[in-house]
Amino acid sequence: MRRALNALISLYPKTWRNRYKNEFCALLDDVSPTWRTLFDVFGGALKMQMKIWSPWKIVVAFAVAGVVLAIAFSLLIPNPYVSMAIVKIGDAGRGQLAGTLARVVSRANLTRLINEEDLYKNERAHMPIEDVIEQMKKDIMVTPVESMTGELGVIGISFASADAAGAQRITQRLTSQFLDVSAGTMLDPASLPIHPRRPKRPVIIAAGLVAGGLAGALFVFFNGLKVWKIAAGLGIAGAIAGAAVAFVLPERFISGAVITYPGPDLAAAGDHVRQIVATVNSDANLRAIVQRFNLYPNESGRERRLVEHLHIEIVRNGSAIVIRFDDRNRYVAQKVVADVVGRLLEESINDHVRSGSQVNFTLELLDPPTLPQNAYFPKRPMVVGTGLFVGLVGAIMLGVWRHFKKSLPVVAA
Amino acid sequence: MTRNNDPALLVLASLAEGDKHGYAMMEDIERFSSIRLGPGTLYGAITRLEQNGWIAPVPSEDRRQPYTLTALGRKSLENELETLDNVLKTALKRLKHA
Repeated sequence: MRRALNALISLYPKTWRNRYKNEFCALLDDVSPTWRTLFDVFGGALKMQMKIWSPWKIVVAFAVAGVVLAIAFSLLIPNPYVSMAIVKIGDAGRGQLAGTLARVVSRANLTRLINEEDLYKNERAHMPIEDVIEQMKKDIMVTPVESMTGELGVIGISFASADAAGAQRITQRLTSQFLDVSAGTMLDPASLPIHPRRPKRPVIIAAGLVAGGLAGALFVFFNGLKVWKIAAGLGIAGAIAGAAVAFVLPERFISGAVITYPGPDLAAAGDHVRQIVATVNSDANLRAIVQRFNLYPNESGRERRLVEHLHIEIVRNGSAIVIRFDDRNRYVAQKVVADVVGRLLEESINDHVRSGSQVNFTLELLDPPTLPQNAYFPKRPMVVGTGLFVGLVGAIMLGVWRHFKKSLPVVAA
Repeated sequence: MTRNNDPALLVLASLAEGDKHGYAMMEDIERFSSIRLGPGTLYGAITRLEQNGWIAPVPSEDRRQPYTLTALGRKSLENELETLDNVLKTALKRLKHA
């Protein structure tokens, strides 16, 4: 500790050291050094340097500090290994690519993979499985690839993981599932990644440089630490106000489900799916849902309110239907989605019976209605962050206003 | 206005009693104000006060450098204490009448 204290003396300006070093060392010999003493001497050195530095030197010092922090931050970001496989989709499977993808990244399939491969162990310890699945979806990438021979329907399937062998294993499993459904061929099997994917370090460092430089410029502009104290105070006040608002706002939970059409005749199925959804979306049906679950009891236009929160979306040309509903009560959200899913499946069977078609257009439940664990609204960290940002901006504006108010010429009476 | 926990004011108040070196000032200030100044803070104040001509070093054989209050420093301290005294008296008077 004493050695560190003596080393910190060299941070003081040379002119100051020439005058005070001996007596300052004598004082340091007398005191019992603690961490507080260390920070105090460091702070003293910094203040002395600031006094003699030119504005440009201060800006450069802040920019260097920003770069150092950015490098430290970039080192903390995990560097995942990415394994990739290239597959060619068969002619039959090309039209159903989206449906195949939906099947591979379905909740049921990903849950099975997570459990069998024991993935995301840390995340599963403190996150609901729904959030872990969302994380896994982000780690899976399916992208169209331009092949060397200009072939169509070539896609790359990749998975990012902290473990290289694990990334390769999961990519192999996802690829084989993809090939099973789409009847495609493997062009390039899943690679074993040798080097981890580095974060975009130059971008992070450049951001640190710019942020540090700006902070330095503001420091010079406001001439000292006072405005930073105001900024910190207003920022914290903004964050507290944001937190208060976030906790007062009522929570909303969103439940979702996915239904797919597994059959081969997608073009014909599209019209049937649209018809089924229109029937389920009818006024009479919406009124029945509102009454069954006693939704929005004290509000006028209850069906209109339901339409605002219930979304039945036909995606990928009718190969899938995504149902989403949000409500203050997570159980009600799940029940409404389950009800709509039941009606859609029932209607698909009725539609098939009514049409007397030889082709079976019966829909299949891919992802059952979820019971949401976390509220999707309000996004508390974002509200608190916004409060903090508004507070900081307010402090800077206050500083600018005071600076220019001081500079205004005084008009003689 | 100077705050009563301003290191410069505390150093001036300590030297009003007599010449002292850094460590003696730290001990004295802690005794009369319960504030323990760090070495960096103390020498920041000493540097500022010496530049203003409010304190001056006293010749010494020891590594520990004693300082003394100059006439200008004494005048400044008197002004500061007068202001603080006015604040104290007014606040006490108002508290009694409240």
